[in-house]
Amino acid sequence: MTSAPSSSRRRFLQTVGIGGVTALLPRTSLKAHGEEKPATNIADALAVPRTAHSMPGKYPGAVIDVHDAACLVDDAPDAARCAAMLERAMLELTGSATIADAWRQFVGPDDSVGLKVNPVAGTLLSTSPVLVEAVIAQLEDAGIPRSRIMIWDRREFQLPEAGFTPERFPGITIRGTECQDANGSFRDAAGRLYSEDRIDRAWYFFADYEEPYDEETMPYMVNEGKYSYFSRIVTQEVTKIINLPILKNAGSTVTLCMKNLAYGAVSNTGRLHKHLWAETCAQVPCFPPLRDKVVLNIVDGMIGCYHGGPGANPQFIVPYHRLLVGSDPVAVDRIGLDIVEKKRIGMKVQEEPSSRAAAFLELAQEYQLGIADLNTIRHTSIEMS
Amino acid sequence: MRRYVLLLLLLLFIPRTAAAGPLLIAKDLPGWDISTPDFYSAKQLYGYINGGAELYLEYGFRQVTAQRCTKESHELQVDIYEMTSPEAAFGMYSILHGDCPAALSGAEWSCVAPVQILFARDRYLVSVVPYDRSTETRNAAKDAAAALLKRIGARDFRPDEIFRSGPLSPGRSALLFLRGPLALQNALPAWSDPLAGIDHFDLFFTRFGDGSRKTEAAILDCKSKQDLEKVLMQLGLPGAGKDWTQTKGGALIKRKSPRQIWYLKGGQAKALSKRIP
Repeated sequence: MTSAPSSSRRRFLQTVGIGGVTALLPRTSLKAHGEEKPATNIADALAVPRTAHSMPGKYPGAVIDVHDAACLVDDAPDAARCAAMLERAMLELTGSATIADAWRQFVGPDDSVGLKVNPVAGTLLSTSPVLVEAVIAQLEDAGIPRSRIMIWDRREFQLPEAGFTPERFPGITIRGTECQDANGSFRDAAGRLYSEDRIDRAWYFFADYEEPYDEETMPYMVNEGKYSYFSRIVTQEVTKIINLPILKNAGSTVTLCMKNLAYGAVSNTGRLHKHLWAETCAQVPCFPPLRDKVVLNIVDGMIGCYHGGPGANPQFIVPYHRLLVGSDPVAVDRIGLDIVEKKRIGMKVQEEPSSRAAAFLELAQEYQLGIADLNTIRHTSIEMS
Repeated sequence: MRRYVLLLLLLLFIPRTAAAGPLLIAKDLPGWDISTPDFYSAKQLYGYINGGAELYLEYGFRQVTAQRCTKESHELQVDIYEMTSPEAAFGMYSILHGDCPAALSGAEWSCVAPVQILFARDRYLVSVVPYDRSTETRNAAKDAAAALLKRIGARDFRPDEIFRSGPLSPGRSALLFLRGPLALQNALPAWSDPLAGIDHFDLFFTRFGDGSRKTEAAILDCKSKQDLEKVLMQLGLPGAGKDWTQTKGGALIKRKSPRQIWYLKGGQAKALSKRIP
């Protein structure tokens, strides 16, 4: 599933050069809540012309929120009901007469389709394999062969733990940027990280901030310096991305579409959490490998959490019984934030909405990745049961 | 010479013993298989609880001991987090316990819910998760938690007297201990603005009372006088002194030391301020 550099990539390289030439363009330094933020190369990304496929995609501001109280059986997603929810959402979003037509608005038989799942919280709180099976089945109905579908995430070794195994998904490529060999080593015989070969140094997110490399903490990651390199999966191996995060909180905000893309597609992310969380969530998806390839976002909200996330704390894992679907990741995240925030307030985890929770979405709206304003978003609720 | 060799061996042995900490053993759960413990240091925590590690590290974390217990199709997971202090263990517990239908006997900071048993004792935070809903697994989870509680021994963490039996004791059961920005974002986002830009602080916070008597109370310790001045500035009360002073937002603030303030807000704030020296 590899391909030559796309025309947009060539344009990016022509614009900024390769390797550290970002100094040619002004780096944006931000100030938020009185805190001076490290400069980044967001200007590089914004300088690349948008395409017809750029975020927010075909349906800016549209979010389909499908709810089915019966979608879980014994606390696990029910395959038939999950597939029905997905189908209903796709038809509603696209206005298509058939489900195959609906999917073909976003992908075609010549595409290499990457399904970006989130397996970081193990079996308890990862993207449901049942939902991914439903997506694959509907893609096949739309004429996409299994050989052109990839399930991917940053960490290859977490995918089987979350249920994404070759046995369960025969014929589907299952890959991560960070990987280990059969002996559990992250390095080859020469001591070179395997993940070195899975990043694309021509594409990078620069942020003028770094933290010391910690071999014990992050033995598997290209994880040094001020550059975060994009995965070859997004720059070279897939032509379209379907984003499949989980409905869960991260502190008083959420880790949904934008976070799943931003932190899932680049290396060296440890340094980006403390001071640049909102900026990373909004800026990394501005780069063409994500901005121009992510066509659809499907938030798995059948089971989610409202506190203790992004890790899995059983006390706070709850059935939300829903899927959120849209081409606009910002709008989908805004609705997801609303749902999680209401749950947190209802469960008395917090008293009122946080003034900072939507900061990354407001920033993303400034970059024209989607719509963060609740009054402008078209939120369609569908009750299935 | 022999004495030195013995001393050397002893020194080598002590850290290993200490690293083991409290463990679940076979007699705690008769009939169950208890796995050999896995240990994860602070540097390995990302690998074990990816996504949640930073909060533990912010409080002060030494290691987690993980054991899996199985019996036929039943399974439960025991994680014993060794923090750097009882205060840190209590702080994590205060954020993570959620609704508590029941508690462990003799442990104030414990929460027995159907999906997880959590308690803080000494410098340990213990989580026991039953992976199925059977009575057998849930009873085993309670037995495991009780055994570990006994093995850890020691007393419950004791917050400041003012929260234990003093004027703020109505808020004792809802007491939060927050150490750093991540804890704040998780449990008390409304305080993110007044504490913006402050990386290191200790905050005891509670809420109690209903309706017009609803009240918030807090004790905030900063690491430097400058940090506290910044907080006071952001609260709109620069130069707050030793007497209770009202902010524009209606809170009462009193400076107890160059790095510490006490805070009251809500229906009972004024009356409480008269009882707090």
